[in-house]
Amino acid sequence: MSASAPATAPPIAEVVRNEVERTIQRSIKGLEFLRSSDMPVGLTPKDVIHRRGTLELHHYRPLADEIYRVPLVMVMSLVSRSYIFDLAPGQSLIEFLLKKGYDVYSIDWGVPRPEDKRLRLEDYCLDFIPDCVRQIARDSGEPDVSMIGYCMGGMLALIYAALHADGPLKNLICAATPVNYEGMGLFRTWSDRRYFDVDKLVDTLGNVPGEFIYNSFQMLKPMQRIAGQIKLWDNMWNDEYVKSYRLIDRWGADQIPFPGECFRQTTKELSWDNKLYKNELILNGQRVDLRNVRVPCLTIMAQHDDIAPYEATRVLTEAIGSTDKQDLLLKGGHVSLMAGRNASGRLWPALDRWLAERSL
Amino acid sequence: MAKESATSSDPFSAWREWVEKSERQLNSFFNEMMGSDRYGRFLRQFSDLQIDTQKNMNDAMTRFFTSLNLPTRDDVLALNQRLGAIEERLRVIEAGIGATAPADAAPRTNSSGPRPPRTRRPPGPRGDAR
Repeated sequence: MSASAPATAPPIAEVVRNEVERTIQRSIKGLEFLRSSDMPVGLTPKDVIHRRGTLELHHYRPLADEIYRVPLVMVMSLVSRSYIFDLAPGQSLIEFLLKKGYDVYSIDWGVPRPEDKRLRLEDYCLDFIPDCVRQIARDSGEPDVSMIGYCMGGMLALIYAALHADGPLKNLICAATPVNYEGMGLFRTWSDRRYFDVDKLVDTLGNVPGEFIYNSFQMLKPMQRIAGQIKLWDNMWNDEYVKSYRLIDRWGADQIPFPGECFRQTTKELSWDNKLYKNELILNGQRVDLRNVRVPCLTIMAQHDDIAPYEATRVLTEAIGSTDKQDLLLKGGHVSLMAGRNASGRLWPALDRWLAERSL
Repeated sequence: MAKESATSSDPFSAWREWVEKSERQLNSFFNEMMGSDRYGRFLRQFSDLQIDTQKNMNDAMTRFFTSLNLPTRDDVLALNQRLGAIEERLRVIEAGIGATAPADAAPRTNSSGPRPPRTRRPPGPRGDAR
């Protein structure tokens, strides 16, 4: 040990010199960081091909000379901005997919207006998503479509798939999608019917404010923000780290209100009664039976997901009726699963490998 | 072994490890606390207080605007809702016109211009992507 140590360990003087240099860099770049405004997001060129209320259906301009036959649509959660799919050039899942030859669309729910408090899961899964799918068929000229849903967007896509078993869906990809709400950890505890008066909240406020959602997420890891700030300062000399931090931090803080009735329905029927997992959820008189999902399905989960824990997501594959189905469990958390350096190295290539041969 | 030596010679890496370890420990401590019944009851009281405060503020503001003979938030929202309903009706009419228009079977081309051919195949086993 004593013989090998001097050859591999940098001398203390060098370590200290590096730290001094980095401290100077931290001070300079720290000031730049404080002065800088929000970084632009969602820059991949796109066209809005359909609008309805706050909903916008985007079509991204192809970046490949030849594209796969089946178009692909991304479905985002109701409480988060859709630009997590398109953070910045080089850090964009959409840009990656376009370069790999996919014809990409994205449903952006927008920020719900006060009158949108009446919207329920029925509106999203039996009206808005089918409407967007029809628009995509019209725009692309192709009869079928693949769908990627993230977080609650995955749940909406899954319900859509179950209710449109004979429909135009070709492939389904659900990322960080909770199905078994008994596995939702602290969220389930906090929304327990003994402690949480969802009726009072929705009846008083209408839509559930974005700050309420943001604070709930923050409470799952109360020290994360402080530790994140310390790590940011420590890495302030590293431009790539700072850029990535700023983009993801901006997205994390950019929560949007949750349509009130949908929140009430999600709390009572999914969180309290776990009806989605039990195949007991009824939307407009139709039972959502996950066994009706028979299209090829890829379930993507994160090992350390605190928002959609593994216990809540892992049952999806066994709950659906597809024969062509696969689980993909990756390291990381809820956000790093989809965006950032980890995602571009792990998830995105795996996603492409799975989807390419099913997009013909 | 070499890594151990490198780590032990860098006092800053020990500090970084301490930050990460402390974050994990404190998070699990708070999570345990927040998962208790007592915390659930506290949360209920806290959220009730927040909601009641918000409601009282809304009521007070409504009375204030009414006394000034100005439209309240609810009035503006009602107008917004009616506009939304008109927008929705226009959308349905537009869709109806689109459905009865001469069948231009070809897919639409938007501002992105003509689309590339949909003939792409997955890369071969040796990774020779097209």
